[in-house]
Amino acid sequence: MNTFKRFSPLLLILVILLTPTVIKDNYTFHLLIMVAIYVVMTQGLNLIFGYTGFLSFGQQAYLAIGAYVSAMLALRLGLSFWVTWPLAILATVLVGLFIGFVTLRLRGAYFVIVTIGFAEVVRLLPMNIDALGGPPGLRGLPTPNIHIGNLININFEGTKIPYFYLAWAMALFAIFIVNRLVNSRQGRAFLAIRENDSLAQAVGINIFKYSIFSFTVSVALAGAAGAFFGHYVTHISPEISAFHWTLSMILMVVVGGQGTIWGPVIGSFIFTLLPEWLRAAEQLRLPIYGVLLILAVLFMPNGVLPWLRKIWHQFTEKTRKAPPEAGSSPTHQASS
Amino acid sequence: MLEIILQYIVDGLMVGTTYALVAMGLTMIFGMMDIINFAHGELYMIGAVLAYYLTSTLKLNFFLSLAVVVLLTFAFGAFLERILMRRIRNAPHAMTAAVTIGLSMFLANFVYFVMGPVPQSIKAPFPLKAIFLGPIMLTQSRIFAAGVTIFTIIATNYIIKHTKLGRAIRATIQDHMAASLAGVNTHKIYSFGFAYGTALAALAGVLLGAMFVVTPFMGESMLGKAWIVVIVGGLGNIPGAIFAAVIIGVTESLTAGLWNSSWANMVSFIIVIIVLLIKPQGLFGKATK
Amino acid sequence: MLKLQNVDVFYGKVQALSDVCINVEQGQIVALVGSNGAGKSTTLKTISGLLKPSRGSVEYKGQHIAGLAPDMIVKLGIGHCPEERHVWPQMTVWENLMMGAYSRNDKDGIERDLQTNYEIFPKLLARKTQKAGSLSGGEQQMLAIGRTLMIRPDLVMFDEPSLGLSPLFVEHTAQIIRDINKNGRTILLVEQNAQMALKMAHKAYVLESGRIVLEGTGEELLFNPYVKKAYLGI
Ligand SMILES: Nc1ncnc2c1ncn2[C@@H]1O[C@H](COP(=O)(O)OP(=O)(O)OP(=O)(O)O)[C@@H](O)[C@H]1O
Ligand SMILES: [Mg+2]
Repeated sequence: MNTFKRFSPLLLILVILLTPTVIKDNYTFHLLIMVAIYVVMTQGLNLIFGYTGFLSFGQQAYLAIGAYVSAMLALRLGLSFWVTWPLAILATVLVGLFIGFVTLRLRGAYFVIVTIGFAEVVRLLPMNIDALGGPPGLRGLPTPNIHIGNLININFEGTKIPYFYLAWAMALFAIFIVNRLVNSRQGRAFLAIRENDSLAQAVGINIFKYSIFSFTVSVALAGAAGAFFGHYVTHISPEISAFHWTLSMILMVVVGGQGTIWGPVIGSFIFTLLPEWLRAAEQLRLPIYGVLLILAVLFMPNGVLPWLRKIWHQFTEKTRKAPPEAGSSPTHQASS
Repeated sequence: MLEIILQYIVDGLMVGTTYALVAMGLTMIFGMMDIINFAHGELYMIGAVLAYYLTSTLKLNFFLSLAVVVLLTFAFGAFLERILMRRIRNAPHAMTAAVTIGLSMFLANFVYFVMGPVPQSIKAPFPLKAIFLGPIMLTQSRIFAAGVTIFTIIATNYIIKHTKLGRAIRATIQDHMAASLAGVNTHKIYSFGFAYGTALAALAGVLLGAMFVVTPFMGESMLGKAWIVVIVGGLGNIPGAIFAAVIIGVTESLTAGLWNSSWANMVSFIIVIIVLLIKPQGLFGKATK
Repeated sequence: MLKLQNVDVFYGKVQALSDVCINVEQGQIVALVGSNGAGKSTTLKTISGLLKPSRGSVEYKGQHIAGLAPDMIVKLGIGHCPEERHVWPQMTVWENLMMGAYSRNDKDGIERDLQTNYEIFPKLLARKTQKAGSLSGGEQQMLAIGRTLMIRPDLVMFDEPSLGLSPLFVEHTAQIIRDINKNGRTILLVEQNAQMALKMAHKAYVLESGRIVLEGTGEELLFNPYVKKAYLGI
């Protein structure tokens, strides 16, 4: 098990690297790229919501800020994606810091409404400001092509494979950072904040500082995903600031398993691929999601992950026990 | 110019009071069960949609429909409390938020599935002819809405302040264990509170639906407004919510009239930020819970 | 009148009571003493229906009441005056008292009991329209007792009524409890102040880590060497 744990990241990287040898069609690649983008976003939401316990339901605002800042820099100043991307992330961090300073002193309902209200304001900006493209949005965002002399020449047009690798590199990086954070001193502070504010304060955790930290990382990930998304579809509109993005993230995090690293990843897969299978019930997809969300919270409050783990355990137990030594006593009871 | 501004203020007052109905239910549910009800806007929407079907499909009289909607939604609220809210009462906010968001998604999209995307209107028996009060124009539907709202608010306040039921509600909010030990069936009180909040929101839905249009997604923006009202007025503070509702209504009406309706939400939000920076417990809130 | 037999109570996985047997006879004052965390409050909460025993029975006037909702148990005539008072801070003194009579419908009787309360606690009459949160600790304790009496209970359970009161007040509270008992009510008294409790008790139990370790008349326990050493500090 331990060796499995140690090598699972490598295994994952290997799987990602080898995917293009198995999958050929563009549409599947598109779905997998969207999964990766959602992984980044949900790792962010999970950090502030699942681990720290703040209902940050205005995440779409940071998605939009990342996307628009990067797009504007690229289109107006002609900068490359590789320059605008970090700048866009920086911009979301700054905005996140400001909003964090205003709201994170307040708990519960106040935090929720201010973050949602702020997202509403952000939604209005691109719609009403002509310089930001108005309702039709901005078109022709440059792709992240890489030309270094004549040596390296990666072209993102035509094929989706470079996007696939880049998206999953970003996703793995997000998983890595969040994993590192929650397994550090900070992570234990986050959990303490989630479990009991006053107690956390009493044991000397500076709630405000840690909350700001968690929130900032969370919105930075949203900004990174938003900017990447813009340069992937090469067209953004005010739609990127709509609440349904956050709604999807909530679904993925809660159903996948909040407060776990892999839960949101599983959730991202489920809710990116599920619509494909629910095609027949397209009209009822959203009502079904609503019911699913309720059932998940009531009957699997920790998400599908623990449930999958259990199945996995039963499976591995069985396979381990499967080849019985010849003549071994049938009364033998293995204790786990 | 002054007349126009006055007109906007009066319009805002009339619409704003109905926000108080939604906000009262929201803050009541939060105060009693510690549930941030993300589906509250949909309860408002359901009131409007029911009134639309009752008046147009069943050809029921508007006033009768209003009464039927209030009764039906009260029962619906009690039902929701029984099957859902009871399970998440006092659960962590993350859990209650996820459940009520799920409920909101379900209700809005299911109504969309049934009703379709075309905005509908409630047939109200009010003549379109306006009444003039000096330079100010009033429509009968608005006067009716404001009248019903004010009556409901006064009645609610009376129930809470001066009846045995009201005392039991306040006792349950302030200390539910002590309420149990005094012989209060707190389950029933929570049920009543949620049902009452649902009916209040639905009533607002009928009143505003009769002025504007009915759509499956009308709840979303109402939820935002109701929260703004609750926060400006002070969480759990009913008189505060009424004042705040009026302030928000007037602000919206002025912004929309003098500038542009799409900025109205922004101005309300800026009010919230200013209030939170200066007085985090709300304009009328006390420092204690 | 009240009989607990082999009662086990858990908080999640933590066992708070094990095999508790208590017998309260009509008209008695029964004391339950023990140190912090012994399970005294848990016992009272189990009787009043706030907690459900996982094993054992609670019998009141011949009826099994374990598992009944607290409001039903109140209607049967058991009043529980909880630890730390638990008055409703934002409600007036009058409203607090009236809430005690919540499950009663006899208007005249309620009015009479209200007047009786005001006679026992003149302070409450003076502060009738004041919010309970603005009362002093001692006054809040009186209000909590008064509220419980408004139930018109046959069995009154007090959870540490002397907690945080000045010695003078403790004596006063003890007198009030004796008077309540003289008026025909049975009393189950939980106290850390073992001296006070044992002096007035007809019968007493000592609870340690969720188990009854000693029982006897109040006097017996008052002079029991172990009780003397562990609880009376002599
Ligand atoms: N809500 C709870 N959840 C978990 N454990 C609890 C809870 N309430 C009490 N306990 C535990 O049950 C045990 C008995 O508690 P109880 O309150 O009955 O003690 P007590 O005798 O009344 O003490 P005190 O004199 O301090 O009031 C203690 O160990 C306590 O930690
Ligand atoms: Mg106790």
